[in-house]
Amino acid sequence: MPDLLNTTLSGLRAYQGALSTVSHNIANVSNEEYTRQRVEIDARNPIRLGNSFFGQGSELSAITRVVDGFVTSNIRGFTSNLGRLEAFDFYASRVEGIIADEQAGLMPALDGFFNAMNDVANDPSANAPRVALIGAIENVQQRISTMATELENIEIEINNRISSEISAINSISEQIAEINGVLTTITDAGNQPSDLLDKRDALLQQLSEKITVTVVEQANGNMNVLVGTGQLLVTNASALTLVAQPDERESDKTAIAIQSSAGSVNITQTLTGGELGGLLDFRDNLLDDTQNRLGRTAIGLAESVNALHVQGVDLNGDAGTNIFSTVSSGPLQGQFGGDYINNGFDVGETVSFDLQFDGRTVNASYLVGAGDTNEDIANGLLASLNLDANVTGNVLTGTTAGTTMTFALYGSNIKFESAGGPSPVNHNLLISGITDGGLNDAELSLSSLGSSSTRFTSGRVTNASGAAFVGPITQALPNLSNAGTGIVNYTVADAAALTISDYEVRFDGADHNIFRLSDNTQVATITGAGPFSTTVDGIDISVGGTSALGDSYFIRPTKNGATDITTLINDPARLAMASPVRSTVNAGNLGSADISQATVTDSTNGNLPHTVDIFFNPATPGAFDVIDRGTIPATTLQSNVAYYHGITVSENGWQVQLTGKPLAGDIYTVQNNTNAVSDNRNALELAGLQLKGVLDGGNSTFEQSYNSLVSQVGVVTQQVKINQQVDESLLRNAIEKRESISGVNLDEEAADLIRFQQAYQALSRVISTSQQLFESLIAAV
Amino acid sequence: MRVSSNLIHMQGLENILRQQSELLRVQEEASTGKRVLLPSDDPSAASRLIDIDESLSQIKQYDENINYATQRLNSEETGLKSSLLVLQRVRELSIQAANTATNDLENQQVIASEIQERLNELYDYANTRDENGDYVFSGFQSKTQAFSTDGVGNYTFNGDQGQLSMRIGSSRNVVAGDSGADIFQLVRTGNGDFAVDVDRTNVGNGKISTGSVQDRTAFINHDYTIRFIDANNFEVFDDTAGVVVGPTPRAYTDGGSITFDGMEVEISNAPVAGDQFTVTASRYQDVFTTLSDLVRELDKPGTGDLTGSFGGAYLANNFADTDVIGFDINFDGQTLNVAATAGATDAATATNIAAGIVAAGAIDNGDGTYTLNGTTPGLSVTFEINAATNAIDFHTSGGNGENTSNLALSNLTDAGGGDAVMQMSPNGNSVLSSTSISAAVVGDSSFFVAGLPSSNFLSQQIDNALNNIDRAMDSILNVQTSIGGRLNSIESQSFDNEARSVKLEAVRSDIVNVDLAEAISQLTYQTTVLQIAQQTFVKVQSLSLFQFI
Repeated sequence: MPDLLNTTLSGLRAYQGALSTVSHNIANVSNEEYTRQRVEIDARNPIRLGNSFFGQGSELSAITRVVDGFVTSNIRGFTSNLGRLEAFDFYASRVEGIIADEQAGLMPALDGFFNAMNDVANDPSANAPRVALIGAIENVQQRISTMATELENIEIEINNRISSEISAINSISEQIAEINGVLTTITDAGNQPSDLLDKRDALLQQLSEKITVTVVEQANGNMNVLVGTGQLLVTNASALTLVAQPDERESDKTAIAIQSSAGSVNITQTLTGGELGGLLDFRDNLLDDTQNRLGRTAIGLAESVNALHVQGVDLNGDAGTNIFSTVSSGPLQGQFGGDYINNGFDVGETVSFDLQFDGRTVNASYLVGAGDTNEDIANGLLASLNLDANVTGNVLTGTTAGTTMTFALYGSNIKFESAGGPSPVNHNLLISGITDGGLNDAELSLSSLGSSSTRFTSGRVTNASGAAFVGPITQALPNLSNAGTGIVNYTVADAAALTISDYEVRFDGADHNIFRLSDNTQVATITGAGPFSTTVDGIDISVGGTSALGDSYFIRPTKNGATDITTLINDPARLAMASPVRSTVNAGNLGSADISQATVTDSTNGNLPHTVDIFFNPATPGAFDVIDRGTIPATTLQSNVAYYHGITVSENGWQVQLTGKPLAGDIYTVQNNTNAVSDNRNALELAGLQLKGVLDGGNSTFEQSYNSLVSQVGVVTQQVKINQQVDESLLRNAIEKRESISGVNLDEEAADLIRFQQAYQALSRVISTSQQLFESLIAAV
Repeated sequence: MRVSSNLIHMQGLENILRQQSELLRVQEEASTGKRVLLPSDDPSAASRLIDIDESLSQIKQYDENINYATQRLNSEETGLKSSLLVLQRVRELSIQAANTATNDLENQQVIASEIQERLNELYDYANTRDENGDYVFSGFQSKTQAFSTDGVGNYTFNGDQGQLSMRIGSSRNVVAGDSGADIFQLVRTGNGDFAVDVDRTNVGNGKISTGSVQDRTAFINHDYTIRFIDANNFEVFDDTAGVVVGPTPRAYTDGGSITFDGMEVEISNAPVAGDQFTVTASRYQDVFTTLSDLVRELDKPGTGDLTGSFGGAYLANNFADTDVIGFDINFDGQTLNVAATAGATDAATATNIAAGIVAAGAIDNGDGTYTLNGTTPGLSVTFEINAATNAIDFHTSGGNGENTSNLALSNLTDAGGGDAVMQMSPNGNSVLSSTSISAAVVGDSSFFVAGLPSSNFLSQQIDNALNNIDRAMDSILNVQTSIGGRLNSIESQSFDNEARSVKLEAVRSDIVNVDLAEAISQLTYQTTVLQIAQQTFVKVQSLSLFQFI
């Protein structure tokens, strides 16, 4: 007989399960990770009695998870995008705040500087405007420095965040792997614990917030997780760890590698999406770009202000010196020498080599005598330098005005230090090969001096090869995977030619090839045969040491331009606001010609202060002589030059123009501008920088260059914000979809509750009916 | 589409949050009146804003520069106006002094003293200092006094010809200062092309007119001397080229026009033989020297160079052969104790006396002339043997008309007969105290003194001074005109700047400022929307089937 009780009981069991599932759903109504569970109640297999099949009731065949895998994976995708955009936006907005702030940005400080310069131009002899100008100069330097430091702080913060994100990722992926493992041991693919699956989905969601992942479902229900361009992060029950390590190319940047038994693989370039992707994107694109641009503006400002300032003359009548210092200034220092006696300096040999500095070539030579010590040899070499016309008292005067190199004895070495000259200092001290008239085995060794940043291209000077001291300059970052011992150094030579790109020097086995990274084009080559330096895009690059095939070096010419800037002048009287020369019409002139005020064309010309007469010699009517009265005796620089209205005369680094009608005997003079406390010509030139195209190869003023920096940041950030809005709405849609599929609807659950309750009640009623039936049966017996 | 309970809640909440955030933004705008302008909100507007702010800042600075420049130019103009008034006054005084009919020396000296006061006043104007103590007319050397004087009528300009420039517009500079050299120092003399003068030693009363250049192509800027051969004939001598110009002799007519090398002058009255008139190409002469010279002429009228001769006809005057002769020459604080031996002939005696003069301390110039330098710097007397008369001719030079230097001969001794007599004769306008000195008279002496210059000499000097003053006034007027032009240019640039500034401000306001009416209405709207969102949220949340179970 078909078992009434059993059938009913089966139903009761089934509906009990259903009710408990409903309550589980209701209990998790606000759990965002939760996917609602539905019960599947199937009829049990029927029994055959005679010709009829009697049903056996129902059973809870499955509790299914209502979920759409595609929707889930869409959500992960949008979450990654949004995470990236949010992280980018967060930092981009900070950069924007640093740069574009109306009060704290660079433009107010720069405007203040130019305004203060104008005020000095209006009253050059007064002290108050000069003091204000010094203040404005310091303000500019501080503003630039502060901005650069804040950008640097962001960089440090990001590098730290990368580390902490990686730890979070590692912990999440471990948990995923664990769940994978548990699921494998517990069940088969068809019937997996819903809540664990929910948990795993939630973990995957968290992971995708941090990084874009690709999730691949395995046959056994495990989810494998891939990152980047296909690196397996989680494989079944095991997870690989991500590590933060120094980037090979730019060793002060944090890169991300995936660590497996085979070693660690740098996957930074392949990581996109999620917070991590956003951080990397921001750091490597917007932040680097901004730092480079700011650096270039700073270098350009320093260089152009300095170049004009040293052309002028201050209140004391002295030539101006640098106002700003930047990466590319400072003295050249070092020493050369060594253990001469054991290095081929043999008795009876005359050792000789040339030193080349700032356009001068000086010979050092010494005849090694019997019994000479190393000190004697050094002494002798030093003394021989003084035989040169340009060396007095161990001081070599360079061709650039005001530049000197001072030599001194230093044990048995000769040390040297450069001084003076305009910035950027691009001085080299070249030492030619050394001859000794004998075995030609003499050698000099080169070394640096204390903490000097001067570099040298080779540690030894031999007969066959010279060497050079170069600098002070910055050393390029060698790639961490370099096998050789090469050194690449660089310095900024010409700010107007600077780009905002970084550069890479790659050694192909013979030559060092220099690549500009913004457009990945090769821009120069330093061949193996020498010379070992070249100038490209305003940067001097030099190589030394021994590179191995495949070695590369990273150059960031402008990045530190802003952090390194300092001011060098704090005495108002030393602001060089006047021009070094002026023109005079002689009071004895019969003629009525006019001479324009002298302008400086070359401030380094040593004869600039000489008094020069333009004399209309009566012996040559209609023509004049140009006579330099600063030499003894006077030198005639030009003679019998035919005069015409508007003719220009240039000598000694200045230029004037003559107009009008001169007469024989007239003299028009250009002379040293002494006592000129009210001359503002150099101040006007400096103030005029505001309107001059100084950067970008002469195409942009400071304001335009800075404006383009701010625009760049603004446009990128705006784009990010717009994309953020789009992604937010896409994500919202996807979440709505998920909710509509997997979300719990209380009203639906309430309806189900009523339905299942009714069924349960009905079944209970059936049981009591079957009990009554049984009782009536028993009573009948 | 199936909706989950979560979704209902999420959406409702999100709407509320969104409206709140929007409300906050609108509130910020309404209460500050400014759109929040980060570059990321509107990169092109932000970029334009930077450009505009930069331009506004520059214009503001230009305006400040304009103020400075205007101030300087105005104070310069005041100084120049005052200078012109001074010169105007001096002109009047000079014309007064030229009225020789009613003037005597005392009146002249009163006028001279007032002109000196005016000169001092002008000198002070030239050395004006501004409020910082800087000299306005010193060019670039504003801590150095522009003009200085040695107290005896020499003036030096110590500044330079630099001029301060200021930027008043993006492509416009203005010169905000002028050098004292241009204003006061580099003033042409005479009529601007050439200056005329009479020789101080002229005997006749001739005057020479200012003249003018008639033919500029023929004008060659040389210096000339017009020499009178006699009362009716003269010649024109080009000193620079060293030749006579034009026909010689030329007939003289009183007031007749004399032309040479493109120039035209007139000489009037009655010059006599030996009189000279100079026509020199205009040099630069500072106005102080002009005034100072005028003062001197009025105050201490023209003593000047001295000419004369002594000796000659020695044998006839008891200079017996082999007599040892001695005498003293006194000049400007210097004494020559001359000793010589008389010779057989007058010529020989003259030679010996000349040698004695040299031996006593005069300088042998090697060309037959011998010079004695006086104590006063620049003053000297030169001796020469007159070949015709064998007398010793002398003439002084460097006399500035003020020092009444005289040449005295005394203490004639004759070791031979004791009876030698030295004859003396004046020349030009020199005056003798006695015509001879005798060895027989102990302490006998005689001296030459420069007499007053010819009449009309002072008149000529005043005429010349008036010309020079006119040139000085021209010079000042030129600079004044230039200043006026510059001030005009500044004013027009100032208008320009203001117009640009106004326009830029308008554009800036458009970009940055919020339309308050719009903002407030948005605020109201936003508040309403938020309220609706909140109310609907509560409403919807309260709908649930469980309420009916």
